Amino acid sequence: MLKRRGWTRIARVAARAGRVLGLALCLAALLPAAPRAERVKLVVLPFLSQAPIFIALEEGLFAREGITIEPVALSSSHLALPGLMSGDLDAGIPQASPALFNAVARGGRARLVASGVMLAPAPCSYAAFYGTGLTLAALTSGEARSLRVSADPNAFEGFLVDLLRQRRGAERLQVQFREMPVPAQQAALAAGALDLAFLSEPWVARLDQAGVGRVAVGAEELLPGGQFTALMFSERMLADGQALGRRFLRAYRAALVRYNEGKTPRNLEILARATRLSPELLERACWPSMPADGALNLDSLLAYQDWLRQRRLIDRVLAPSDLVAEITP
Amino acid sequence: MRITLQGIGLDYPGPRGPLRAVDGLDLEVAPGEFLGLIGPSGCGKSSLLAMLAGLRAPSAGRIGFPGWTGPRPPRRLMAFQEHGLLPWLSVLDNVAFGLEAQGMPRAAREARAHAMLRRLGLEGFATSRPDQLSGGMRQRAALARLFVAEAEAMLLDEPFSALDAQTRVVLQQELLDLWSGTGRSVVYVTHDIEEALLLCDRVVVLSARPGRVIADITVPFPRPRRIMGPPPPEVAALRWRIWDMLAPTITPPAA
Amino acid sequence: MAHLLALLLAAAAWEAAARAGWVAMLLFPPPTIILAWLVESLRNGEMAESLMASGQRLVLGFGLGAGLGTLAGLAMGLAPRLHRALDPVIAALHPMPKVALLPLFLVLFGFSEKARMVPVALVAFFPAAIAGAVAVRAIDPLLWNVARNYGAPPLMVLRRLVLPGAWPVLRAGLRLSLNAAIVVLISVEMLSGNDGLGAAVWQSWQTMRVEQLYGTLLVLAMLGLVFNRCLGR
Repeated sequence: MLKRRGWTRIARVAARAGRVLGLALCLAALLPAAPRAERVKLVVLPFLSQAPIFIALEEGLFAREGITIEPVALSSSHLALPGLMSGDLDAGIPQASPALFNAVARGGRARLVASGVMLAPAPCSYAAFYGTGLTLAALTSGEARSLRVSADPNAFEGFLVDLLRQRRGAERLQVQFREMPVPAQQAALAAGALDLAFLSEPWVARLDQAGVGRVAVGAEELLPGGQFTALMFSERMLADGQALGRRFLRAYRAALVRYNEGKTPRNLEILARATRLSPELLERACWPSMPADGALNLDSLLAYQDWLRQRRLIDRVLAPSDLVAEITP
Repeated sequence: MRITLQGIGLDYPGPRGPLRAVDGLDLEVAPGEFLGLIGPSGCGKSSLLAMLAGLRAPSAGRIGFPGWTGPRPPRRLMAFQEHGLLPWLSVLDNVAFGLEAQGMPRAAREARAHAMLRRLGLEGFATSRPDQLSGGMRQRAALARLFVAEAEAMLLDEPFSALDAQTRVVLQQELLDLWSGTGRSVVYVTHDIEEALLLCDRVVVLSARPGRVIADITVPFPRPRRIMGPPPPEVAALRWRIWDMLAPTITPPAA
Repeated sequence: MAHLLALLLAAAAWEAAARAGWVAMLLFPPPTIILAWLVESLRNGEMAESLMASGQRLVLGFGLGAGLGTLAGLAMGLAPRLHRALDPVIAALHPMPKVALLPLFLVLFGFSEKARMVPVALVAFFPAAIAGAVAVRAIDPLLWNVARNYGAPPLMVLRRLVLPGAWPVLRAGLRLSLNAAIVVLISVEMLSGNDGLGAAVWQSWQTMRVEQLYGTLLVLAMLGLVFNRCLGR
C-alpha cells in the first residue's frame, strides 16, 4: 500500500508538472498567432514619389499592422534593385526601369504589388519635358526642329520622347540627347545650351520659381495613366500565403488614402521632414498622382517593355503574371 | 695660367653664428704647376677647390687670374671623389659632356671622346652606362671627361681615395701621363701624404680649422715620374716631415 | 604564365559556383556569359565606339593635365621660391572632389566635350606636379655641381640632367596621374556621358545587365594595363 501510495504521489506530482508544462507550451504556441512585430527592411528614397512610405511611417500605419520597419536609406532605386531581388531588402517603391524588368526576367524574385506614381491627368505635371517657351502645340506643328534634350535615351524618358515623336505633326523633330546632372540642366536651359530637360518634382517647381521657363510637355500628356513607380515586394513578403505582404499592403493603402487627401498641413509637415524640402516649395510643387486603390496599370508596363525590347534594352517582355503579384486583401 | 688667392676666408653657417672654415689664406698656383693641397679633415680643402672652380663664393678675399686675357673667364674644371658621372648617359656621352657644354657639334665631340676613351683603354665601354663599370673604370671615365674638355685649370678632389691600392697606383700614373705636356695647372686635394708627394710639384699643408697655410714644400722628384717603383729617398724623407706637421692637428688637444 | 593560370582557375571556380547556383547569377554572372557579351559587343562595334570615346577623352584629358602638371612640377623643383608659393595651393586643391564640381564645369565650359575633360585633366595634374617637384629635388646635388662646373647651358641642363634625372620619380607620379584620370573619366561618363566606357557601366546598372559591367571593367583593366605599360614598370 505504502508503496502504491508512494507511486500515486509521484504520479500526482508528475501530472501537476505536466499540466504546468503543457500550459507553458500552449502559451508559447499561442504567441506567434498574436500580431507579433515583424521586421521589414524598407527602401527609403528621398523623393516625393515615396510619400506613402513617409506617411505610413510617421502615422504609425505600419506599427498598427504589427510591422517594425528597418529603413534603408538609398539615393536611387537602381541601388535598391539588387537587394530587393536577392531578398536582402523587403520592400520599396522603385521606378519602372529596364533594370527592374531584366532583374525579374533573370530570376529575381521580387514582384510589383501596387501602384506608386501614375502619370494621371492632373492640373499640373509631376514629370515633364521642361523648356524655356516651347509647347506641345509648337512641337507638333509639323515644323522641322532640332531639339537638344537632356534625358537618358535608354530610360523611361527616352520612351516618352519616342511617344512625342510619334505624335502627328512631330514627324520632323530631330532629337539630340545630352545627358547631364540635374543641377546643370537649369543653367543649360537658361544659357540656351538645351531646348528641353526631362524633370520631375521638385525640380519643375524650382525652375518655375527661378523663372527659367515652363513645362513644355507633361509626361501625362504623352502616356496618360503611365506607371512611373510601383511598390515592390521581395520573396519573403509574398511567402506564407502573402501574410506579411497583406499586412504591409494594408498600411500602404491606408497611407495612400491619407496622401490623396492632398496638401493637408499634416501631409505637408510629414513630406517636408522626410524629403528635406521647404514647406513653401512643397506647397508649390505638383504632387504626383497615386491612385488610392493602388491598382497597377499593366497596359502601360507592357507598352514600356515593348519599347525597351525594340531597343534591345531588355531580354524579354514579361507577362503581367511574371512581373506582378496579386495580393488579395 | 696663374691663379692667385688673397686673404681668402670662408664662413659656414653654424648653430651659434658663422663658423670660420678658412681664414686669411694666401696662395698662388703657377702656370702648368701640379699643386697638392693637404691637411686634416675639415680644414676647408674641398671648399677651397669649390671656390677655385667658381661653384662657391669666398666670404672674404679674392681669387684672381693675373694675365688672363681670354674672352671668358678661364675654365676650371673639377673631378670628384664620387666620379660624378651622369648615370643615365653612356660613357661616351659622359666623356663628351664638357665638349657638349661648350657647344661642340656631336660628330666632333664624339670623335674626341672616342680618342680619349681609346687612350685610357675604355674604347669597349663607350655605350655602357656608368653603373656597368668597375670603380676604377668609372674614375678613368671621369678623368677622360675632365681632360678631353681641356680646361685652363683642373681641380681634383681626392679622386682616387675610394679605390683599392693597386688600382689607385695605376690611375695615379695614368693621371700623370694625361697631364704631362698639357701645360695646364692642376690643384689636387688629398689627405694621403704619399700620394701628394708622388704626384705634385709642390705640396701646400693646411692647418686644422680655420685653415691656413702652414707649410709650402717643393717636391724634389724629377719628371717624368715613374711612380710604380720606389720613390727617391728625399721624397720618402719629406713624408715624415709633413707627417710631423700634421700629427699635432690630428690628435685632439688634451682638455 | 602563372598569372594566366591563376586567372583561369579563378574563372573556372566562378563559373562552377554560378552554374551551381551558389552565387547570385544576377550579380555574379558566370565568366562565359561575360565573355559572350564581350565578344558580341566587340563584333557589333559597340565596344570599339565606347573605347574610342573614352580613349579620346583620356588621352586629351590626361595629356593636358599630366603635361601641365609635369611642367608645373619641374618648374617648382627648379625654383624653390615658386615651390614655396605653389605648394600650399596644390595641397589645398588636390583633395577637392573634381567629380562633385562637374555641374559647375558643365556650365563654365558651355556643356561641351571640354567640360567632361576638365575633371580628368585636373586629377591628372596634381600627382604629376607633386612628383615633378620631388623628382627634381631628388637629383643628386653632385650632378648639379658637375653641370654647373662644366658650364652646361640651360637647355642642356634640362635635357641631360633634369629630365633624365627626374624621370624615375616623375614616371611613378604619371602612373598615379593616369590611374586617377581613368577613375574620374569613368565617373564623369557615368554621370553625364552619352558614350564611353563609363556610360556603358552606367547602362549596365540601368538595365541590370551585370555581365556588361564586368565585360566593360575587363576592357578597362586592359586599357589600364596597356597605358601603364607605356609608362614602364
